Amino acid sequence: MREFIEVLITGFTIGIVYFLVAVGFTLCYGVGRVLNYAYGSFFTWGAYLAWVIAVGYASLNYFLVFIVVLPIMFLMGLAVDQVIIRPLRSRPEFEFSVLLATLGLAVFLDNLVLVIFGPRTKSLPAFLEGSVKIGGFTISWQLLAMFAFALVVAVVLFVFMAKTRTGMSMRAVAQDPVGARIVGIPLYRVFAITFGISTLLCGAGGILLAPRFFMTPLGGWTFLVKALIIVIAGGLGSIKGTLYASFILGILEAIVGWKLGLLWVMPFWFLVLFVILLVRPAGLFGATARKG
Amino acid sequence: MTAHMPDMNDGRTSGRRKEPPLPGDRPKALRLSRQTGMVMGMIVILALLPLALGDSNYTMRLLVVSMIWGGVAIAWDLLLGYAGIFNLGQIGFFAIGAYTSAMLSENAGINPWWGLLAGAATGGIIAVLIGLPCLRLAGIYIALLTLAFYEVLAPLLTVGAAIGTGGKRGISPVTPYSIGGYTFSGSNQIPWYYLALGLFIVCLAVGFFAINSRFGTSFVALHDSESFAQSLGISRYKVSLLIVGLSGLMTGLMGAFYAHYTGVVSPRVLGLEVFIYLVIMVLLGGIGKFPGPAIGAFIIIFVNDWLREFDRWRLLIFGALVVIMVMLAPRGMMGAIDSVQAAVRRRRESRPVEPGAEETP
Amino acid sequence: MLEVESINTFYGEYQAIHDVSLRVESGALVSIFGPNGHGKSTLLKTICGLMKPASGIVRFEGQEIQGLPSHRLVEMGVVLISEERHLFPEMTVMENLRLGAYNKNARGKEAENLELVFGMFPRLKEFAKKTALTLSGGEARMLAIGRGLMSNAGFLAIDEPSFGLAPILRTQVFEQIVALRERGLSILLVEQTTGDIAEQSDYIYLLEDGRIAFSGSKDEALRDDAVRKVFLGIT
Repeated sequence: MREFIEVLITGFTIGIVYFLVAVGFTLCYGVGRVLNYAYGSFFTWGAYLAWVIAVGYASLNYFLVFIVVLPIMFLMGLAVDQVIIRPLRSRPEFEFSVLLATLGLAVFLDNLVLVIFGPRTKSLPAFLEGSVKIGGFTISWQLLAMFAFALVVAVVLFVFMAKTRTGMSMRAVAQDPVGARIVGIPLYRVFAITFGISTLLCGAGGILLAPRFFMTPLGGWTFLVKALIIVIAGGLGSIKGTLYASFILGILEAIVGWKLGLLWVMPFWFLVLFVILLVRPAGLFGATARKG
Repeated sequence: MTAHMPDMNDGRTSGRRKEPPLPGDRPKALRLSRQTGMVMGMIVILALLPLALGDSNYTMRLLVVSMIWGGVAIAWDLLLGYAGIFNLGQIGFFAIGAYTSAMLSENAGINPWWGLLAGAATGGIIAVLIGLPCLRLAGIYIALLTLAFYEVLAPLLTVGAAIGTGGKRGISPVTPYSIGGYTFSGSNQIPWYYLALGLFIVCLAVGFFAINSRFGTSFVALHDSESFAQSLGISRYKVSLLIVGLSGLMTGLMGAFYAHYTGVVSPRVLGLEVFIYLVIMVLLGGIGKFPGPAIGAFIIIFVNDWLREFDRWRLLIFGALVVIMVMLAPRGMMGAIDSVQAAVRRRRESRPVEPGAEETP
Repeated sequence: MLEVESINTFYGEYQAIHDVSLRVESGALVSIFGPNGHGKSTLLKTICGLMKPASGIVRFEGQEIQGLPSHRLVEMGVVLISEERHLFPEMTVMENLRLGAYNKNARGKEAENLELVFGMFPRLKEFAKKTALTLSGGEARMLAIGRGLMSNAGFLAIDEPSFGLAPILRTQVFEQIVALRERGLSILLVEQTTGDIAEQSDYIYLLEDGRIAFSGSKDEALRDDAVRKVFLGIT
């Protein structure tokens, strides 16, 4: 029983990190209408950059890694938006073109990692060693740190979206792009910032989860798929749905991983998604998914 | 009616208009004859090529692989470029066809020839099963769900070792075909070649008729103007399902052949590398420009081979190529040829015809 | 103050606006009438930067503005209140209004303009916490106008503000629009047919098939029998 609770705690923590990753993806589509195929590659880059900073240079200090890598991810996102995505926006088949372009970008980024870092798996050691006993349960410091950092990022994100002018402008663009233009919101600037933030969130997920998973050049794809499943299960465009789905699936992962092994996680995720969609075709809290 | 790049919003977002027909779009008769010409040309050339190649086993191998992927590219383009369905799980049908045939011949001892039929059938059935929920949804959901299908298939096949999928390693070796007393083997590519050609011709034929028959133009009509088509009493849903089924069928067929040709099936066939190749093939050939994608397949297979030495850089180049092509040449080769021909025709048409004027050489 | 010279606007291959020219003097209330689907909304959208004309010039205070991105125009004080409203459905009335003041020039005046809007439409103050999605047609219309006013505009293009409103509300809305003119705003108003607003307009245009079919002062319009009967509903 004790072990089960500890597994739940792990699942809960993973859930909140998955939430960050999934939200980044949702924002990307909800605001910018971009299905970012390269999302997994950004995840990989976040993890590898963290590795470079943590193992290559200074002490394994979480703060340092965040402070250095997150801005880099943001800038990367901005660059991709300006160079690749923005020129495509004028086309009527924009969403489709951007999907293909980001696919190409994904392959490019993945193989860039391969060329620079080599094919062998790398591992990022846990940033904190040891564990602490809370209320009779043993929880690793690493897990606590993960939870704390993810929580901070999530809270900052919420406040940003709800209260700041930029955050509100992003929500406005997601809800009614024409309305946003009418009130004078510069669309392209919002698109750029959104993509930057999306990439940043993805990278944050990469940093936090890197110690837990082996890092390979293609490792990020699993997380693209996970973000996808969470977003579909929660309902495209619903932050609340993404939140619920992240926790449900995160806890599911922990339990399945504990009982059956990590290999079974994806099949179970798909099963749960299937069931959710049977009952609610648009996801838990999604708006109607039907055509027209 | 011309096919154009799919618009995921189905034109519903305010301010985004459906693209008007390209200026100078060729009238149907011309288009038909060009397609017929290219298809016939390809078949004739491919049929006669082995005579010229003689012993060159290696080149024939490349051609066989090209024909396999050419068929898949056509099948995918039916959905992408003509029916406007973003199926990101096309390779999944390929893998299912391959695994079905391999499992039948290795686990159940059934003659591989039946595997071709079985592979095609399962490919088609799974495609329709996926299509059933997807086709009622908006474009983005189709993309997401088919992507999820594609990504989950590999893990499913890996854990499916219990039911005989061979797990991570897959199934190997896979029995080759035999006719009479003769068993196909790797040393003699000729029988494989002509079998592949036969299957390729099937794909070309299905594609051609799907696009050009009355049934085919109706589903292109559906994509472009739902209300008009509905007034004719055509059910978009049913027609789309049929197209999806055909596409899955063709792909599954090629998958089954692939399994016995290469002698091995594993989850690797679902890898990203394969997918990106398919994407480039279709982009290069031109989405919605039959039979461009098939030609694209041949080009990519050969280019990939020439770039073999660059190993690590190869994919880097391909990735960058996709981005560049999407940004600069989204209509592929056929699209470029279209534009050139349209420009030429426009210039010719704008010149006034004077009686007795001489034709400029 | 606002001049439009020979603009042509297309939807793909379809031409919606044919060679239209018009003027709105500073502080004037100019009305455009005409049957539905004849290009009135397209015209306003073109003027306010939501669409780009294929040819022609739009000049505001001497500066050419056609083709500029809409957020620049809003900054300059050219604001559209659209017939489709385009409110932010999941945001509250308050948030919608605050977003109306997004542009640089309006930020400083937010409190002031908020008071102005609540003064004009006291009902909005009551509903401040309701989400836009839950508003009725009339309330949504008021919010759309209020949000437009938050942008501290010098020039307002208003597209069918009274559409679908009960007669009492209609009169109220028109009174507010006239009041805006008294405050110095220039207004370009589009309406399908109505008598009362025509009375107040300084100048009237008639748009038919995307072309100007009539232009003149209110008195000239009244004298033109055909215009009077068919479109102004004045007997």
